[in-house]
Amino acid sequence: MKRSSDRILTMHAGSLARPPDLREMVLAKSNGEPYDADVLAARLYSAVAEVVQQQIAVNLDSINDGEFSKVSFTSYARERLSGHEPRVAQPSEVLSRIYGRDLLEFPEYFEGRGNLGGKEVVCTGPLRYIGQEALQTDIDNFKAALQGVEDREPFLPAVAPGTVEHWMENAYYPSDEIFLNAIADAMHEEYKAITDAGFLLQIDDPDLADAWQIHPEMSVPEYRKFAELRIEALNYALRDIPEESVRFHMCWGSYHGPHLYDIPLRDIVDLILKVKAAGYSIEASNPRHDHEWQVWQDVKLPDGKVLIPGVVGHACDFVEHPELIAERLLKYAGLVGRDNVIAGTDCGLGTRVGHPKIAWAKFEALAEGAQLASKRLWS
Amino acid sequence: MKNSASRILTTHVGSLVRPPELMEKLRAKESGQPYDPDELASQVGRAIQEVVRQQAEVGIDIPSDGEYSKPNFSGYVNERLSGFERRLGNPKESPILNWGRDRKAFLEFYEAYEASARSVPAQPVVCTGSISYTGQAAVQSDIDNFKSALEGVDVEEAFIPAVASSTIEAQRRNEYYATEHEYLYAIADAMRVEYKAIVDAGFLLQVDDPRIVVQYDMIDPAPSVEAFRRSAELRVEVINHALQGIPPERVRYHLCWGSWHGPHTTDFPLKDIIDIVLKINAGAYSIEAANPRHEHEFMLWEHVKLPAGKILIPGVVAHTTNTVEHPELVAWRISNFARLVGRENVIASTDCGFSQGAFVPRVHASIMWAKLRTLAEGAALATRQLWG
Repeated sequence: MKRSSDRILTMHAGSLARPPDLREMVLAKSNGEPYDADVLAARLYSAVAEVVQQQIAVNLDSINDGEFSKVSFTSYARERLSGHEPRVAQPSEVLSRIYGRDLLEFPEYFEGRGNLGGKEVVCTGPLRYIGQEALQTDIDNFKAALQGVEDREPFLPAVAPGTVEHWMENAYYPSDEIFLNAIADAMHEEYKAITDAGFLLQIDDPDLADAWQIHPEMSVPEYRKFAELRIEALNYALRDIPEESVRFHMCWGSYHGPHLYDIPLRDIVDLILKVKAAGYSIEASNPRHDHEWQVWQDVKLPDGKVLIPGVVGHACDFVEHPELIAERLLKYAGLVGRDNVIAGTDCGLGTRVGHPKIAWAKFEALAEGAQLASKRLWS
Repeated sequence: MKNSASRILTTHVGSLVRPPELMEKLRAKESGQPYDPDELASQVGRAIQEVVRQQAEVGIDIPSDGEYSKPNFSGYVNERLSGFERRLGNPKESPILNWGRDRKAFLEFYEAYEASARSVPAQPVVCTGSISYTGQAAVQSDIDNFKSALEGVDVEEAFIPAVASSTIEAQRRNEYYATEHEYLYAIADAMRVEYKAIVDAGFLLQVDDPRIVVQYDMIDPAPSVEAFRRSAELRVEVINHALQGIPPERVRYHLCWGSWHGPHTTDFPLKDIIDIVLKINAGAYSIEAANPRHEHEFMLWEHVKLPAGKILIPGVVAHTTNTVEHPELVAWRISNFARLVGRENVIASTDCGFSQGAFVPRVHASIMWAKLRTLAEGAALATRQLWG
């Protein structure tokens, strides 16, 4: 993983807005509706090439394929794992929700919202990775798009075992631990293929923080135990993969909501740092987590590791002022050292702001802000 | 005006989300449907009682009446000023001279945003006659409702917002007065009646003036900084004319960049206009400062001196997102200002009203109250940090 050795580098958390025609085809495919496989393949190829150029044009240093082949950062794994069946929820059933604690105080706000984090499939047999072909297509498309591209750090995101568990119920394995390890074994194949292809692997793990809201009954010590088991599974999935090829992304689900009862970073930061990764991308620019830079006054970032705070976010459609971005970066650089900071986004923001153009304007601001901070830090 | 002598006081910018029943009645009135004026009046009175009690309960030291009698923060004067008429506009024309360069740069976003906002369609209002204030009964009713609601409620002070002459001018074409100058002064003379009534009734007057900066985005191509400053200077002179005879310490001036949910990439920088803003004869300045386009502007106070005896009322909580600010963030923002202008000169507030108009709530009501609670918690936290 590249370091900010002579200026602050920039990255984003992955998901970018799909061109409408591509989105329709990917959705149709995922919903089992008719679509033309050749047309989809050709469009995916061209769209990935376009989005790579767009990321270069706004001066992002670490770039990806926009997750263009995927329905979402997490549910794509449904198509890449065998051993599960769809599950129909009963009308009266309360599904798990990544806003479970907030829901108690804001029932009107959440009324009518989907069951984010509901258990939509059941594991009924041995879990196996069957996504080789889909993954190879992602790798090939991205490689083709990167032809002639220099000085960028290409990455591909993949979902963490704990986050797969959000939507997959276990009816097969004898314990949570064995179930998690089975997910880890299957996902290991995807992680390894990504790093073997020469890309930086980004592990997407909102689960680490947002399962706190799924389980409103847990105390902090209980939750830490719960989370620790999921981190162990993730590290097991990352076995044989060099830490230097991995960055870890966590957030609090970063859906548009109050987030009043999110677990504080302080309560889980030591667990985050256990993940075998070179960089830690952490949501930090929305008003519920913006103050948590202060955590790094007391917590030491281990030597050789990189902190990637979100300095632009998708919580609102206002475009962050570059001066605000620079100010945020300077605070982090002051605490963990300029070389150990990369400027990031709170989460994948391409599809979560009012219009794709706003996402691109935010990336431009990100690069400008990083440049301003670099000027001040290296002058 | 009370300052934060021994602790950080809290306030907000005025407009609060109306209860659904009230919103419905106001909507009927605004869209020309039949409604019972007496019933509406008593409903407004009851709703103000409730909203004042709620503000005190969540820890707001300087509450408003929620602007509950008004359709929006500025359009309410259509009923309180003579000399204007509504005119059916060309649908392709900006409805209230409200389409600027940010809209042009993000057109697809704005079109979708406008389609989703369930507001009452705005009709252009044009000045076609001599302007005078005719809203005496309406402002008196606001005053009476608010006074009665404040009985038995434990707060430090109370304010009523009124719109600035410059914002009225910017939203209404002039077809009557010979010059811009005459038009502006006519509005100011009329609005002084309302400003004075509010202060004479013992309330703090808040003068709402987004257009002092919003107008920059509306001019295409962008004017030079110098040209825009000249036009702002005139508007500030006119506001001071409107405020004649009113003690500055009873007035707070509110400035924001319209604070609609948009990218705001063409907003005029505060640094280029702050010296002009500080010329307004007010005791306090309320300035949007909690959203990501303007948050960095707190650093401005490292170089700009807040005049002695004046109070800064920065937005430390915003309506731009449904995510509720963490009290630690609120406290940090307050302490940044306190360090630069002195703790006693900072009152903690919001970026703008939570419901720019009765029909455009900017967050869900439950989130608004959570944000006002976090404001009070953050102010208490900052107080502990600043006073030890």
